[in-house]
Amino acid sequence: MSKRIRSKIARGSGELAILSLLAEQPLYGFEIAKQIGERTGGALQFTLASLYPLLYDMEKRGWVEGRWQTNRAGRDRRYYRLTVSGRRQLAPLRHEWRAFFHALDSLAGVSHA
Amino acid sequence: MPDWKEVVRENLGPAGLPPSAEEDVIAELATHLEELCEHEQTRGRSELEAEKWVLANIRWQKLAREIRAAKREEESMKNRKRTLLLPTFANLLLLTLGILALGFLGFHPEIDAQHHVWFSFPIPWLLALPFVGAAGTLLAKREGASPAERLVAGLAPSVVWLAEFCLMAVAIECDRHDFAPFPPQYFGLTALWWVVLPVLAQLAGTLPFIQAPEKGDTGWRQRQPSTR
Repeated sequence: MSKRIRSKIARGSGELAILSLLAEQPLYGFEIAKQIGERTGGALQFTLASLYPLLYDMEKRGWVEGRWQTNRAGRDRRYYRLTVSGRRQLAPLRHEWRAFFHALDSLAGVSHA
Repeated sequence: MPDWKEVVRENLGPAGLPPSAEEDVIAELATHLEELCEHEQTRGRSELEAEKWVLANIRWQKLAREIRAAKREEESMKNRKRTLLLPTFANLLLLTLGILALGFLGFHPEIDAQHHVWFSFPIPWLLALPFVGAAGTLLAKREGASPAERLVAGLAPSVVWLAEFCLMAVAIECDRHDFAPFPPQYFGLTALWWVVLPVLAQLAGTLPFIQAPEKGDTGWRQRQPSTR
């Protein structure tokens, strides 16, 4: 698989992962990366270089909105929440990925691998 | 514990973003690194080991390149709106209100083909134009606009007059029957009074405020010398 295709798949899955998490509650960058790592058993890992450019890009497209908030310990964090436009993206993205895995499964039997 | 903001600033280099946006990015990445470092310490690493591990796992060049790509278009659109569109519309609004106010005071510009058209032109309006031009330019300057953007914001109404005048010229050309008595010399004088002089008046108010951006205003942030 070419690097470009791999990169597109990683990006698409990253978008779906972030939108799905933010659909539950607003989160800040570190927490997003941590929860994705924990909830996928470490299969999906976000680094600084993969997480923030993706978040900024999603913010540019109006899917998420970032706001600074200070927690009780006085630490400033930028919380991201899903916008109405982002929420609208979630269902089609889920559908696309389901179709993608279904197609791959019929071809390569990946769900039983 | 290092100053994570300084670490990010030094390694990321200039991002080519407006200072406030760049500071936001630096602050956000610094918070992430600080929390990652603390998280690694809860997993048994010493503070020094955690710092080294965190720093060893960052590809700074890739990070800087991708943040620039993700952020710059957004920021340039936001900036354009703030530095160009808003001052331009403010300028046009101010001028429209000024024309309405002059109308209330009895100054009504009229195009008179039989007499000298410039006599019916509202001189107070012409005298107000340098101030309107200056207001638009100053507003753009305050928002950190480039000299070209300041010029456009200050001269915006001139573009509207020029467009109106061109439309009028086309209308006269298309309907010679109605405009037959309109002599060509009056057409030239109308252009002088309705386009050239207002543009010059606005330019007089605009030019004093078109200068190079103040240092640190909109330019690229210079890379900080390493303190470590």
